[in-house]
Formats: sequence, C-alpha cells, structure tokens
Amino acid sequence: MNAAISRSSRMSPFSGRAIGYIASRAMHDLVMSFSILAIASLMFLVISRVVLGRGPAELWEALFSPVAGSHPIQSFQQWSVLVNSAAPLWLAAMAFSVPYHAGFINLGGEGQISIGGFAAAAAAICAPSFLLTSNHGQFAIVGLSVLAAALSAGLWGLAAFLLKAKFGANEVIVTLLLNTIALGVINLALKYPVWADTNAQGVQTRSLPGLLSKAHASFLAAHGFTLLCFVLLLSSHAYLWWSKPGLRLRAAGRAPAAAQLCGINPRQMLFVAVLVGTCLAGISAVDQVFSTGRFYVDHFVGWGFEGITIAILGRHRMVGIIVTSIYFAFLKEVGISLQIWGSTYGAFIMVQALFLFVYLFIERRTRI
Amino acid sequence: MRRVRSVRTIGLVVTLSGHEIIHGATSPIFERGSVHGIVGQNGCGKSTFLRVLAGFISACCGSLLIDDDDVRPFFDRDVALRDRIFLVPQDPPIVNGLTILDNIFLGHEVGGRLHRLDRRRAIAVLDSLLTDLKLDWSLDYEKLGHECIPSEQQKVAVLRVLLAEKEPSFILLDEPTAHLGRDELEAFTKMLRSLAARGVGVILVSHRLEDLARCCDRVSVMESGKFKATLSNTEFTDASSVQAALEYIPPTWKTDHTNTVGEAALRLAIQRIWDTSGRPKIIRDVSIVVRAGEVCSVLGEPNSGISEIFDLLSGSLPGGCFEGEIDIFGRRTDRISVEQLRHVGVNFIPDQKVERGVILELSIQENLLLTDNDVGLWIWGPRADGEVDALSNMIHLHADRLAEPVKNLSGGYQQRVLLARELNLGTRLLIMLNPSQGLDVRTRDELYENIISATMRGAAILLLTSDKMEIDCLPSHSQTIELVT
Repeated sequence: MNAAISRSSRMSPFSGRAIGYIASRAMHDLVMSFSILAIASLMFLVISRVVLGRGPAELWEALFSPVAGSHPIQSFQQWSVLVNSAAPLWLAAMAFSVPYHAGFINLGGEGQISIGGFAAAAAAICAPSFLLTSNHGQFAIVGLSVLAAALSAGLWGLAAFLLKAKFGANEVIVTLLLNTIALGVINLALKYPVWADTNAQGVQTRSLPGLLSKAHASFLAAHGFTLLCFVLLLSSHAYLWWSKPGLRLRAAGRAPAAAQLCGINPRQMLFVAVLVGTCLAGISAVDQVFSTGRFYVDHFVGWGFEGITIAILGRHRMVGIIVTSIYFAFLKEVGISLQIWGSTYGAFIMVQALFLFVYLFIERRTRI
Repeated sequence: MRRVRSVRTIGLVVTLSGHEIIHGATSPIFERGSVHGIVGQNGCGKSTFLRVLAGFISACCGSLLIDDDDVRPFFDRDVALRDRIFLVPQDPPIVNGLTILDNIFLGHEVGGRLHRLDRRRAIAVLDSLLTDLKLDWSLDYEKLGHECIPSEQQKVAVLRVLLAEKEPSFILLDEPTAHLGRDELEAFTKMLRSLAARGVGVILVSHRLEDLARCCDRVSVMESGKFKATLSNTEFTDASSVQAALEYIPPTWKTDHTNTVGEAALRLAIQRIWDTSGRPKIIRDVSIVVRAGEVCSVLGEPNSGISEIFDLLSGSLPGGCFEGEIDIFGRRTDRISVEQLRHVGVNFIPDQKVERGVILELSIQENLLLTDNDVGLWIWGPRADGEVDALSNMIHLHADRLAEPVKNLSGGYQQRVLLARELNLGTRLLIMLNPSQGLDVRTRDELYENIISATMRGAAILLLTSDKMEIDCLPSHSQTIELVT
C-alpha cells in the first residue's frame, strides 16, 4: 500500500493515454454533432412536409440548387466563404461556454458583441493618422481594434459579474437587461461626431479610413481573422478542457463548496471565466466591422442567440462548435427559407430553435 | 391497499452507464417483520440492488417476485409506492431553504390552511411518533436544510418515510448508521427492532458489522453483484462471523515501530465556538495539539461541535463564530485560507463526500488532480498520467475507467477517490471528519494502514470522529480528546 501512494517514477516521454483520450473524445464529438444535426434536419424535413406541404425533394432542390451560378459547397472558394462567415460564431459560442462552466449563464452575448464592434470601429477611426500611411500601420490598427473590442466587451461583462458577486443579482436577468442597455449606450455614443456618421441619425459610425479596406482585401487579411478565431477557439477549448486552470474553473462551477475545500476560490474563477468569455464576444465582432467598413447598429442582431445555440448543439467543445457553426453558415448562405418561406431571417431562427429543441429533447432522453 | 409479505429476486441483471453492476443476483427471501442486513465490499451492488427494489432503476433481465408474483417488467416507482416499499438513500436529499420540520413533512403536510404546515400539529404528530418508536433523537426543528449536518439529514430522511406511511411494507435503508453517534445508534437499532415487531420488513445495508450483528435477524453477503451467502442470527454473533463469510482476515498491525514525534503541526486553542446559525455552541475551552508523526483524535457526538472544528480549520466557519487561537506550522493565523494551507501540505477529508469531497460530474482523473500542485499545466499529459497512476492504485480501478465521471461509481468508490486524492505523499497535516463512513471493512483497514504510513513519514493527523470504533480500530493514535455535549 505504501508503494501504491508513492509517486510513480515511470513516466513515458509520450503520453499515449492523453492522445488516445483527446482523439477518442474528438471523434465522439464529431459523431455526436453530425448525428444531432442529421436527426434535427430529418425532423425539419418532416415538419416542413406536414406544416408547409413541401416535400423533402422540393426542399433538397432548394438547398442544393446553385444560387447565382455556383453552389456554396461546390468549390474551395465557396467553402472558405462558409468557414469565414462561421468563424466569428465560434467565439460567440465560447462567450457562452466558458462562463457557463464556471456557473455563469451569459445571455448578454449580443450586447457584449455590439459593444466590442462599436469599440473596434471607434478605435480604427480614431487611430493616429501616421499609422495609415506606414507599411505595417494598417495591421497595427487592426490589432488596436481587436484590443479595443476585447477590453470594452470585457469591461461590459464585468458589470454583470460585479452585480452577481457583490450583490447576489441573478446573472440571467442582469445579462439580458445589459443587452438592451448596451444598445442604449451605443445610441448615445453615436451622437458624437468624432466617430459617428452624422447623416445616419445615430445608427452607424463613419466609414473606416479607406486604406484599411485595402488591407482587408488581401488574402492574408481576409483569412487572417478566421485564423485568429480558430487560434482563440482552440486556446479556449484547451484552457477549458485540457488545462489545470480550466479544471479548477469547471470544479468551481459544478460544486463551489467542494472546490473551496480543494483550495480554489470560486469567485476568482467566476471572474476569470466572465472576463475570458466576454473578451471573446467582443473580438468576434471585429471582422464584421472591417469587412463592411463601418459599425452599424443592426449588424449583430441575433448573434448572441446563435452563439448560445451553437455552444449547446456543439456541446461546448471545439469540434462540435465548428461543425454546427459551418452547418448554420451553410443554411444561411443558401438562403434556405428565402425560397420556401419568404423570410430568410425568421425562418433561419426557427430552424435553429427547432434544432435546439430536438437536441435538448435527445439530451434529456439519453443523457448524452 | 395491499401489504406485501415478501420480496425476492431471481437472476437479476442490472447495467448502469454501460457497466454490469449486478450479475444475475438471486436473493434470499426478504420477509416482512424481520430485519435483514446486507454486507459486501464497496461497489459490489448493494445500493443498486436496493434502488431496484424501490423502483428507482430497472433491471435488464431477471425476475422480481413480490409475494411470489413476478412483477417484472412492470415494476417501477409507482408499483413500489403502491406496495409501500420505501428507500432511504445513502446521501438523502434535503431542501436547502426549508426548515427541518418542513423537510420532514414535505409532501404530506398536516393540517394548515392552504396546505401550509400547521407547525404545532406537526410537532405533536412527530413527538408522538418518536415516543411511539422510543426514539430519543433531539432535532432542532427550525434549523434550515443547508445548515444540517449529515446525521440530521439522515434522521430527516428516516422520519420522512415513517411519517409518510403509517404502515410501510418494507423500508430499505442504505448505510443509515454511517453518520449516527453512539447514543443515537443505540436508539436507532431499538427502533428497527420495534418496526420489525410491528410487521415492517427492514432491509439494511451497512458496513458496520457490529451494528448488523446487534439488530439483524439475518445477514446476506454480496460479492461482485451476486448474493454469496445468508447467515441466520444463530450463525453470527459478532463481527468476526460476518468477516468469515466475507473471507476477510483483518490485518495484524505492526505495533513494534515507534514514530518520532516532531514539532506541533497544529495548535488549536478554542475558547468558544458559536453555532453557524448564531446560537451559542457547546465547545468551550478545548485545546488541541497535533504533532508531526502522530494521530490526534477528537471524539464527539455529531452535534457536539466536531463538524464546527472541521469547518473552522477548512475556512468555512462564518467569521465571528470563533474565539481562540489557531497556529499551523508555527504560524499564528486569524483567517484560514485553504489555498495557502494546501500549498504547505494541509489536506482535508470531509464527511459530506458528495457536497464537499468529490465533484460528481468531473472524471476520476480530474478529481484526483484537483488539489495536485505539481501536475503542471495540462491534465492530460505524461506528468498528469504519472500522478494519477500513482494515486489510482489506491482506488483499485482499471486505468480505462479513469476518464469516467465519478457519478458512475458507487458510494464507496467515490470515497476511495477522495481518500486517494487527500492521502498523498505531500501530506504534512491531514484533517479528517468521519473518514471511514461508507467504507467496507477491507477499505477501512487500508485507510488505517495509509494513515499509519503517513504518520511514519512524519505527517500529523487530526481525526475528528463520532464513531468510537474508528478510534479503537486505529492503532498508535497518541491522544484522544472527548467532546462532551
């Protein structure tokens, strides 16, 4: 028995168990994501048949007939468009997942994303002019915008944390209310001509300095943001599921009393989780701002909802989040309901909601 | 309403989370009007068996016979309730915001307008029941659920069942005595006998063989998901006869070693401790000194204040509830920080393993690594694997199962995970509250062996317990302080 508790000296230089575990877990996530989406899609087909009287064949045609000459899944270029449009949603999903595991239900994604987007635009507009003319200055401005987005959204999220930690307020109510308050704050901020487009009656900022859009048009810049999103997604996934600090965070979220006895400070973990999550939310808005060349109030409507849906359907894991977000991007891209229901956005939200309910139903039944 | 006479199973197979827990168990006949004990190692399927009888989980195959009628596959919770078969689980649930009285009467509130509890009538009903059963349990009815210590939770769960049904057919008790103090235990065993005399069937799972020998008419031994033997009360008279049926030979402790007792690791001078709810507490003027290389035991009834001492040392006693001095490794401290204590090698084994010990949703590997400061950044890597391998030998589980959540394990195995985590080489001071609760005899002796080897390495051990047997079984403890209620 003494030997049993003595520390093992036989450590292999390469841990087969860790690789095996991570690989099998990733495979499991992949299979689960595809199964969930397949079951949900099947249910959607059935419902569309019953409710709309449109058969699966009609729907299939709507999904896979070429739009404007090419179909989204027929070329690499189109695939890259899908991945690029899915990338910000990875961060929006993680903005829900990370705080969720520390016991904080963050429903304020949309507000945090909007604040982040506004800050990114404002930072780019107010950046010193010499940066625009220098060679690498444009990239410095992009970096500045990312930083501004992360910090502002992080600060916005910390308001909810403080209300919960100091006054015991329920974070669900607080984050929901902060969504609306965020829009109010942005509306007020758009009264200032420093960054606002004065002709647009407080709904958008001025357009970003001209040279920036050129920087964005280059291949590296266009895909650079997707790369950044992937790195952040991988890092936050590794933090949450593979690292010791992430384990402590999850422990504090699951059982604060047990975590406290293990020497973990649950409140500190909550702070870290909310900060990480909300910073990710802020960064997710940057690409949209740079690709359209300005911040527009209605750009981010529904992003919070999509983030939560993708996080839950993707089961809070990287593989699941990527698969689900690309699937949703595909549905959006083909304008599924434009051809069937006449309203793209409403139908898209309904499809997502349907998927979510199907998943929650399966989860309750099978405890997956 | 029918009242069943007997219950038995034939070839019962139960699978949970992909693992077959019970492999074709053919049980003896459990009869009404008798107390039937079940013993067996941790993880052998005792609790699962009780949960099947109570209709909480269903079996894959086999027969469940109630009064010789095969009720499978229709047996479920409703049938169990119709037949008045009730289960008191190992860690009974309690509603946090409600008082003890509300918790006891939950679901069958007496009197009161708008279904509210008529407190005066409820207390009268409860008192008459306690007198009737000759139970002299003292309970503070106004205490809130989350303030309850495990023994109170257990009492609430037992009383809830007894009040719900005047004449239950069967009461299934999973480790009911684990949290009870000596006097309470005496009353409890008498109560079981009086229930049996009234025609109630009692099935009792316990690891405390002495209790079983004292109150059971028959004792069945379970091993690896099957019933191995059943002894009648003439065949066992004390713990050793059940040990023989379990084929267990208690170890002979090496008492020839002499530990070098070092400097004081913990000096605790308590002038006064208040109850967490602000009521004046019993502990006054107690001084505890634990030196490196020795075990110091503090014995007291569950409500005598031992859990408050544990709370104090683990930093969860609210501020202002303590008057006195704490000195850990020569450093006087007013405010306990568990994080700092963990860094200097202070470990804890709480008695509420589900609430404060292991985290059910996390995997075994993750639970083992929660307090390890040497593991580095990654929980899946060569260093973490090495640490976990070293610790998991103590749990006796195959390495393949380390990625499973702890909730898949039986209560005893959950306790083992906790012990493996806390009893590591880095332990310099170990503070334990009723550590052997829920452990079978074999694992309990392994725990004691580990405690002895920890003291030989120079660790200081503070054992807070309400079980005198725990102190009697543990050799070479150097001093015992008895708290008087």
